Amino acid sequence: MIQSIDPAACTGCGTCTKTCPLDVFRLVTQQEEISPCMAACPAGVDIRRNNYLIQQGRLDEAAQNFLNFNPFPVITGRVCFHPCESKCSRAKVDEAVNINAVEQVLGDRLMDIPQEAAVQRHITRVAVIGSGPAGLSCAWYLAQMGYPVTVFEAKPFPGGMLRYDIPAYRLPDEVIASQVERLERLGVKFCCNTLVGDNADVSISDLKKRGFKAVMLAPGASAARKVDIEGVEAEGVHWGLDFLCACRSDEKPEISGDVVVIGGGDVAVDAAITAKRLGASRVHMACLESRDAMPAYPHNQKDAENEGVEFHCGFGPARILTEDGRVSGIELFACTSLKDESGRFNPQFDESSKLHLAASHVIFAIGQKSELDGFAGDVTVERGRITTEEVTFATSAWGIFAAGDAATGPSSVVSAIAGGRECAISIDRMLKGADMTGERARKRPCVPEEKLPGEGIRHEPRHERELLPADPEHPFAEHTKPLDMEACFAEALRCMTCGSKSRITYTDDCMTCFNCELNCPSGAIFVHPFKERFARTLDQIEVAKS
Amino acid sequence: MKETRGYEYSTDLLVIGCGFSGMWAAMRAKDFLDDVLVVDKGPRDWGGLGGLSGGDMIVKQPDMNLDDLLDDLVYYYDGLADQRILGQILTQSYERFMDFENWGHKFVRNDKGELCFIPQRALDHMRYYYYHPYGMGGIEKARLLKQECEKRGVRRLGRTVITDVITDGERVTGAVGFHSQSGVPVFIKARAVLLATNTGGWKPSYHQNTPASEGVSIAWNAGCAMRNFEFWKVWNVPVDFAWEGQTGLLPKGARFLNNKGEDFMRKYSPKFGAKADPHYNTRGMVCEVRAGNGPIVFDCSQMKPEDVETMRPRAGWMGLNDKKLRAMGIDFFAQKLQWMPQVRHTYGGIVADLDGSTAVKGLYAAGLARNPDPGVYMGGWATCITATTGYSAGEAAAHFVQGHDAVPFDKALAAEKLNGLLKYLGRDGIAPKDVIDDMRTVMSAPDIALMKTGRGLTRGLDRVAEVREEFAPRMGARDAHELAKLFEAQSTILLTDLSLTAALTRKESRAGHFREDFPERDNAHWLKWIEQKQVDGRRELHTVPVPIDEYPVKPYRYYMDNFNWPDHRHAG
Ligand SMILES: Cc1cc2nc3c(=O)[nH]c(=O)nc-3n(C[C@H](O)[C@H](O)[C@H](O)COP(=O)(O)OP(=O)(O)OC[C@H]3O[C@@H](n4cnc5c(N)ncnc54)[C@H](O)[C@@H]3O)c2cc1C
Ligand SMILES: Cc1cc2nc3c(=O)[nH]c(=O)nc-3n(C[C@H](O)[C@H](O)[C@H](O)COP(=O)(O)OP(=O)(O)OC[C@H]3O[C@@H](n4cnc5c(N)ncnc54)[C@H](O)[C@@H]3O)c2cc1C
Ligand code: SF4
Ligand code: SF4
Repeated sequence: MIQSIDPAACTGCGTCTKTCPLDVFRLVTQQEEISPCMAACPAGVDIRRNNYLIQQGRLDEAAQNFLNFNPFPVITGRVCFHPCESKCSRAKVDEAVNINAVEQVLGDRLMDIPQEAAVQRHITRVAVIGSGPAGLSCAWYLAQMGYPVTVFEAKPFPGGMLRYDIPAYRLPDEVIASQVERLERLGVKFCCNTLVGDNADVSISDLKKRGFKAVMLAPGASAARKVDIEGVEAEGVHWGLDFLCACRSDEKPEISGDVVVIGGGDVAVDAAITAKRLGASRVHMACLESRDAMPAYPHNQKDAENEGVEFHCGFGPARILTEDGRVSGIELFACTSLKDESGRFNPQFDESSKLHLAASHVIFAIGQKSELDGFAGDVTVERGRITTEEVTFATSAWGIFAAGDAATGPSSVVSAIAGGRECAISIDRMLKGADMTGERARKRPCVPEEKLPGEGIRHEPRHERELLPADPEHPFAEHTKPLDMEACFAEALRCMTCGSKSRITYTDDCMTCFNCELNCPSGAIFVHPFKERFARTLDQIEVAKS
Repeated sequence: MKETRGYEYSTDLLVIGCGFSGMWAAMRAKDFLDDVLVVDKGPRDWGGLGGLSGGDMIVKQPDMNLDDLLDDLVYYYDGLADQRILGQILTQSYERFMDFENWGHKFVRNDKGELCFIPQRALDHMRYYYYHPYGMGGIEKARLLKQECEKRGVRRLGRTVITDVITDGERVTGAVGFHSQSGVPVFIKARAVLLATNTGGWKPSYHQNTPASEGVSIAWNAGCAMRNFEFWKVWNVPVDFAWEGQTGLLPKGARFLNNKGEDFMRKYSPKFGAKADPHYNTRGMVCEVRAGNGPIVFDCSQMKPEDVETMRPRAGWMGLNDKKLRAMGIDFFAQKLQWMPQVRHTYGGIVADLDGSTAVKGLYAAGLARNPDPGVYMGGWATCITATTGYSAGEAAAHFVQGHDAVPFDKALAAEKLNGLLKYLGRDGIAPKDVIDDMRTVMSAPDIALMKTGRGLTRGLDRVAEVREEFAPRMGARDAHELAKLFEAQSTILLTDLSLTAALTRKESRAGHFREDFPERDNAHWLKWIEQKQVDGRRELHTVPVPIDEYPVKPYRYYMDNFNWPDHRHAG
C-alpha cells in the first residue's frame, strides 16, 4: 500500500501522476521556485501549472489561468518565438515540450467562449495609444480591472504589426479581429484613423484635457529602415514592412520572376515566403551574417527552407541592376566582418568577391524604427526609443507609461504583451494612489539545475503541428493545423512540471501494484508491501461441530 | 471552474481499453484504417493488467495437434467448452507468439534451444511459455505493444472513462464518457467501437482493481447478451501481501498445508493434489477450515532449490515486493505463510461471434471482455486470449469500417445518457467505495464465494436489491475521481446481480461453479450456457445448449471427477 513520498527527493516530474493506474497522486504546482520555462517566458506564463491542468483534463481552467499572464494565447500560440521551449528541461531527455502548440489549443478554445463585459469599477478614463500587442494587452488588463479604456490607433484597423505586417498565413485576420471583438465586448473603445501626438489628430495634452488621467504609449516601431544604394528607386524595389503591409491589404503587390530578399532576420523570412506565395519563381535571401549566425529564429529558417527559399549568407547589397527603370538583378559584396573593434555594427566588405543574382524584385528587410517625434515634447525619447523605468514602465512624465517596440526597440509580440500588462498594473496602482513598484521587482528563484527532473524519464516523441502545403487558391490561408485534442493531451503529458511536488491524495485507492515506486526516477516513493486486508473469506467459516 | 463543452473526438475505430487486448486490436486495425483511437480510464499507454502480469503465454506450437488441446479443454471445462472460439484462439496463438518473438521478445529456451514450458493444472497439452527475468514478461510485452501501436500511428488517450456506447438504434455511432480527473464530458464519434475493457470484478485486495466491471455496464446497456456470469474467479492469495506465480510454483512442488502440516489437497484429489485449478484448492480450504484445520499456509519447502531460483522474482513489481518482504524478515520461499481465497472477477463476458462482432452492429469485443471460460483457470491463458481475440476483432472491426459509411452521432442523446451520471458530480452523499465494498462483502461470503448455496445466493441478491434501492441513488461524488468510482459502483451492483442470478439458475456443479446444494453435474439439463441481456429495460435470461454435435470433441471425461468432497448438504 502506498505509504509516503519524500518531498526532498521529489523533483515534481509527475511520473507518478501519469502512471498510477488508480490515479492516487496529485501534484502541487504552486511552488516558490519556478520552472526554467516560466523563467524564460517574457510574460512569465505559469506554464508548469497550465500543463499540469491539461494533464488533468482541465483545459478550460488552464486557458483561464493563461489569461492572468497573457490575454492572447490565440495569437502567441501562433507567432510567439517561444523562448520557453529553448529552456525546457525535457530537451535533455528527448525534445522540448511543444509549449507553443499547446498554447494555441488553449487560445483556440477560448475563442469559443463568449466574452462577457467587464464590470466597471472606476470612473477614471485611460487612453492607450497604439493597438499593437502592447496596447491591446494594456487595454485588456485595465478593462478587466474595471477602467474605461479608449485605444487610439492611427491605422484603419486595430492590431499593429499583428494586423499589418505579420503574414496572414501565420496569423489570419479573423484571429486578430476576434480578439479585438473580445476587447470590445469587455468594454474597450477603439478610436481608429486617429494619429496621436503633436501636430496630429489629437495631442496628449488634448487627451488629458478630455479627462484621460493616464496614458499608455505603444506606438511600436513600424517604419522600415532604408538604405541608399544605386538603383533603390527602380520599379521592383520594395521595403520590407511596406511590402508585407501591402500584402495584408486587398491590393497585394504583383510578384513574378525571381526575387531577392535582403536581410537575414524573421521579417526577411516572412518577406521571402510571402513573395513565394505571391508567385515568385525563385526566392533568394541574402544576409550579412554567416549561415549559423543568421538572426532569424531556427524554426523560421526551417520554414523558409521548407518553402524552397535559397540562402546566400555573408553578402551585402552593392547596387541594384536595372533595365528601363525596372529591377533586373542585384550585385552583392562578400561581407568580411560585421562589427568593428568596439563591437559596433560596422560591416566590412571584400569588393572583389561579388555575387550577382538576376531578379525582377528586390525586397529590403533590414530593420525597422519608431516614429516618435509626436511624443518627444511629452516624454523623454533617446536613441529612437521612449525611455521607461524598468519595473513600472513609467516614462519621464507622470501619468504616462510606455511599452512595446517603441520602448524596447524591435522585439516580440510576447514582450509587448508583457509590457502592456505591466503598464496596466502601474496605471492601476498609480490611479489608486498605491506604491507603483511594490514587490514587483522581486524575481522568484528558478529550480536549481541539479533539482530538475530529466534522468530516468521515459522517451516520448514530441507532437508537431502539421504544416500544410500552400494552397494556390488561397496562398495566405493559415499554414499549420493546430494539434488535435489527443495530441494536445499527449504533449502536455510530456511536461515534467519541474519543481512541483507530488502528494498522495487518494491513499485508499492504492492496489499495491508498485508501479509508482518502480517508475519514480527520484526514488522518492515508498510502497509498503502489505496490501489491503479485505475482503476476507475463510475467517467467516465456522468450525463444524462434530 | 466548470468545463461546459466537453472534448470531442472523431475516429474510424474507437477501442475502449488500452490493455493487451485493446492494444492488439488497435494495432491490427490500424493496418487497414486511417485513424484508430484507443482510450483508457487509466493512464495513457499503461498496458492494463497485462503490464503487471507475468506475461506467461499458452501457445499451440505448430507440432501440436489442435484436437489434443481441445480435448484437454473439454475435459477441464467439464464439457462446457465453446470449441469454435477456443479452436480459433489456439490456432492463432502461434502467430501472435511469433509476433512477440519477432519484436525481440524471446521466450525462455533451454541449453538445447528448446522452448521451456510449464504444464497447466495437470493437463496433458496446455502449457505456458515464459520470459526471463521472471517478473518482466508482462512489462516487456506491454512496452512492445505500445511501441507497435505508436509506430503505426494509433492515437491514444488516457484518463477517459467511457460510460456508454451510443447507437442510432441499430448501429454503433460512437461513445460517451468523461475525463476521470476533471469530469469534463467526452464525446467520441466512431464508425465502429471495440470493447476491450475486461469485464472486471470486485476490486480485490491487490491488483485487478482497474477493470471494475464498467465494461459489463457498457455492454449491458448497449444490448449485448452476456454469458458465463455464474462463474467467478476465486484466487488464492497471501493474507498480508501480494504475490503472483502460483501457477508456476504448484507444478514445481509448492503446496497448501493445513494447521497439521498436511498437504490436504492430496486427500481430496490423490491424483492432482494442489496442482489443480485454484477453485478446487479453494474448496479444499473450506473443508479444512470447517474441520478445524485452519489456517491454511503456502509451502515451498518441497521445491527443488534450482526451481526456487527460477521462480524467485528478480525484477518488476514482483522483484521489488520480494526484496521488501525479505527486508521485513518475510521470506516467501523459506517460510510457511498464511493464505486465503479471495473473489476477484467474473468469468462472464460479452457474447460475440468468432470475429468478435456482438449483437450490436459495429460493436466488437475482445480479450477478457468476452471471456470464453467457465470459471477454471490456467496460467498464461489470458495472454493467449487477449492476443488472438484482440488481433482478430481489430481486423474484423476494421473491415466493418471499410464496408460501412459513417452514420451521424447524436450528441444530444450522448449528453443525456451521460447526465444520468454527471448529475452526481459535486454532490455529497454515500461514498461510492462503500457500495463497491458492500458488493465485495456480499461476494465474499463463503456460501457465495467458495461453495455456493441457494440460500447464500438468494441472500446476496436480496442485499443487491437493497443496496440498489436504498444506497445507490444516494451516492455522491465530490470530485471527478469519485465520479469514476461511482460509475464503478453502479457497474458492480449490476455485475453482482448478473453473477448471483446466473449462479442461482445453474442448479448443478461444473467446472468453476460449485453448488453445495447441487454438488453433481447434470448433463441432461445443464450442458448449456446461461445468457442474460437487457430487453426494453428488463432482464431476459435464457439458456443456449452447447452444440456438441457440431464440435470435434465430445465430452467423455470430466476434470471435476478427480475430486471428492465431503457431503455437507445436510450439515449446519
Ligand atoms: C514582419 C514581422 C514579423 C514579425 N513576426 C513576429 C513573430 O513571429 N513573433 C514575434 O514575437 N514578433 C514578431 N514580430 C515583432 C512584433 O510584431 C513586434 O515586436 C510587436 O508587434 C510590437 O508590438 P507593439 O505593440 O509595441 O507595436 P506594433 O505592433 O508595432 O503596434 C503599434 C501600433 O501603434 C500605431 N501607432 C503608431 N504611432 C501611433 C500614433 N502616433 N498614434 C496612433 N497610433 C499609432 C501603429 O499604427 C500600430 O498599429 C514581427 C514583426 C514584423 C515586422
Ligand atoms: C499480477 C498479475 C499477473 C498476471 N499474470 C499473467 C500471466 O502470466 N499470464 C497470463 O496469461 N495472464 C496473466 N494475468 C492476467 C492477464 O494479465 C489479464 O487478464 C489480461 O492482461 C487482461 O487483458 P485485457 O486487455 O482483456 O484487460 P485489461 O488489461 O484489464 O485492460 C482493460 C482496460 O480497459 C480499461 N477500461 C475498463 N473500463 C473502461 C471504461 N469504462 N472506459 C475506459 N477504459 C476502461 C482499463 O483501465 C484497462 O486498462 C495476470 C494478471 C495480474 C493482475
Ligand atoms: S519525483 Fe517521484 S514522487 Fe516526485 S513527481 Fe516524480 S515520480 Fe512523483
Ligand atoms: S502502488 Fe500502484 S496503485 Fe498504489 S499508488 Fe503506486 S502506482 Fe498507484
